[in-house]
Amino acid sequence: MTDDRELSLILDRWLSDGPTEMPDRVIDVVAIGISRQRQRPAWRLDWRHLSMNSLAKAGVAIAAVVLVAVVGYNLLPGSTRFGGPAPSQAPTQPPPSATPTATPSAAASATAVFPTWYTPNPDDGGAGILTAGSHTTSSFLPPLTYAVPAGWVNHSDGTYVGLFPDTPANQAEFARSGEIADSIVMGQIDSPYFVCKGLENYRGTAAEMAAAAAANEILMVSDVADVTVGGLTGKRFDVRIDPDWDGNCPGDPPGSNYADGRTRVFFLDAPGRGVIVIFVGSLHATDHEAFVAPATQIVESFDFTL
Amino acid sequence: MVARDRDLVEAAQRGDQAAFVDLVRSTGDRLFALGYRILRDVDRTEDALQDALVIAWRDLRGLRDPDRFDAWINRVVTNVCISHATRERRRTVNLRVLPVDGPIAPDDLLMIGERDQLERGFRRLTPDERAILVLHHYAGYTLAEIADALGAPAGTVRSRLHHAHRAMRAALDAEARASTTGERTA
Repeated sequence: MTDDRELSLILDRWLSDGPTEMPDRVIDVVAIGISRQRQRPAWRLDWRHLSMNSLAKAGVAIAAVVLVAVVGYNLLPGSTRFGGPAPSQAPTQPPPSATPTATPSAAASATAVFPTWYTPNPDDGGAGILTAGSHTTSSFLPPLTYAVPAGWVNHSDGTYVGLFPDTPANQAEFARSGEIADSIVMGQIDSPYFVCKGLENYRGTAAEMAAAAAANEILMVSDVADVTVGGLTGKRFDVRIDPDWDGNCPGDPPGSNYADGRTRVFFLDAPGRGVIVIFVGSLHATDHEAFVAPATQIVESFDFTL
Repeated sequence: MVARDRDLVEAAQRGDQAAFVDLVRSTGDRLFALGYRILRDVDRTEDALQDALVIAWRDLRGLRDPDRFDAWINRVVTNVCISHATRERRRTVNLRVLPVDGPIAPDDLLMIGERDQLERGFRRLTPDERAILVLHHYAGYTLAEIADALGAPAGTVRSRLHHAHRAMRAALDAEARASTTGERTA
């Protein structure tokens, strides 16, 4: 029986064997490749190279699945939908008390205060614990104003906006897995590369993306409803991954398992900016029902400065 | 990171293609070696590295701290290699052992049979497990660094490394048993 130390030595030695020089032709190909590839503005980069919380990951996973569908990857036969009412139009009731508060700035983010149980990623630029009322993003573009009740946290304000409630459920999940159970994640998807290779240049409208999600055989999607958020029109639906599907999109975060996750998706057409995607999601189905209503109310308070 | 490389990163972030090519020259061998260890095939490593470097160029402006370029580019290359390995794994129905590209050290504590078994055991691992094994044993990453590179919880990385070790140990022990049986038969 090979013991641990011996195994480590063997693996170290075995892996040290092999080529260590890159062929020159790689440089030639890369030089041509980058001459044809425009650089993305920093704020439009995808989320995968950032440290993400669980909902961002879940959102990415679902976005990947959605966009896989757009180009017709049909991995499973048959289409299913899950029950429950279709998402309704945005209600007319006002958001939670909109007492104006100080607008967070980039400098404020550097000194943001987070719940003691949460470890923020310093690169994410979140404003930390929010006071009840109205807040404006400092980095995310287009600028966004939103209203939250007391007890919410802004953990990311950069390439994406992330919000979560300071709840026992989130605290427990973070202690257990280092992830957040229930949160709102918003970003732009106009040319995501976190989806399967070959879809990188896909661009679609909110309606096209929602239709693709509804048609996707590996998703279970509620009826798609029209929605207006912050002056942007788009589509809204509830989605989960078909429990019978056990695949994943190459490039999804390792260890992804979102079978129990539930997400309310908003696709919003942002003229000149592609599609803004908002995920109101829960890692665990049991949490979602109580979370989705107040979280949706926050989303409905979003107001974009375009 | 040396000052020259930092200057190159910053120039490349401003769109200087020549600076990026210089960065590729200075980091390419290391990245190629890393990618090869995951993919175990020179041609596929070239393809993956080319894809990864173009993606890195495209997204370079998102790197907030140029001093973290090395870790960032390692992460990009590793993730692209995992994607390539995943696609390859789906295409490959029957597991087969491909010939090892590159030189085999002549010394050596590892016998040919052991190498075959290691290769065979490695190819049975998932792409994530292969990457974790390589980052840990070849690149010298800690579990926390691997978790950061792969965007996975540290606990997940730990359990996958444990599983990978167990699989590789089983491969080696199978070879040892086969050798013992062969000696007895002889």
